[in-house]
Amino acid sequence: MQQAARVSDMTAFFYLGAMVEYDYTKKIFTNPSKEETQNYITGRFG
Amino acid sequence: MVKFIESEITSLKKELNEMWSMVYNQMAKASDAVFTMNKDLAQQVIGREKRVNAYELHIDSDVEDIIALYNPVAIDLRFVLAVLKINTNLERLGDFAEGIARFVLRTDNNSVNTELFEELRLHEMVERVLLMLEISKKAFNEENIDDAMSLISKDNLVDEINAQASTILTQYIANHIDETKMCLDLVGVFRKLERSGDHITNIGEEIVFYIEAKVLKHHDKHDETDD
Repeated sequence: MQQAARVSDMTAFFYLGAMVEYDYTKKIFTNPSKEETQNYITGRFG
Repeated sequence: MVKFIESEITSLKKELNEMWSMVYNQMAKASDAVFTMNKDLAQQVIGREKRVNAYELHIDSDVEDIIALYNPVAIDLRFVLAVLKINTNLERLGDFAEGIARFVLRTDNNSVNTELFEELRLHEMVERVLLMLEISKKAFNEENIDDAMSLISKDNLVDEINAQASTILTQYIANHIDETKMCLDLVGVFRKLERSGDHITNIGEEIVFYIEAKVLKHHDKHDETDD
């Protein structure tokens, strides 16, 4: 996931085929809007 | 793969809470020492200051480890950054408590006038600072934004009493020249309490940042009347 943060300007998080969130990479990794996104990138699931 | 960070966060929270309680006790004891001019109590506060400093170093080290090993992001990142800054603010509060205790050791018991303390509203100022410290800890543990933000307006009373204290002490010195040194040292106590209010407000701002990713630093402070 650190690779994704390093190389991209925009990041999308998909879960079970549905796009949960799509935003600037910096936003996704510092203050995601969706709780599911936050739970995934912080390792609480997945 | 993202390592699960939950246990590290729990452990860090526990450690910070311990430091918070210690600093609260230091500030309460130092203030009690001033009201009673109890030099033994003041000496206890000064002796304990090393433990506050030790907590600061330990927490700094734990935060460094978490960042290096877990690469925290989002709320976890904001949490460790907030803890780092809250840690520094608490350590400064510990320093102020020690400084207030040193006033007691430097001051001759006979030169202290309890009526002067009442006129200066020293009790009120101390109570407000301790209340703010209590609220800040509760806000952190309960992730309560309202409590965290209330600290900004609560600091207004601390600032007000400090501003009045200088005027009152200036007049007092004019009428009690032989107590000039005590009064000048007392100005230092008020200054430390006023700075304590500012540091606790900073802690509130860090809590808001951690919970809502909002930066309140360097914004205009609220000018509401205190409740």
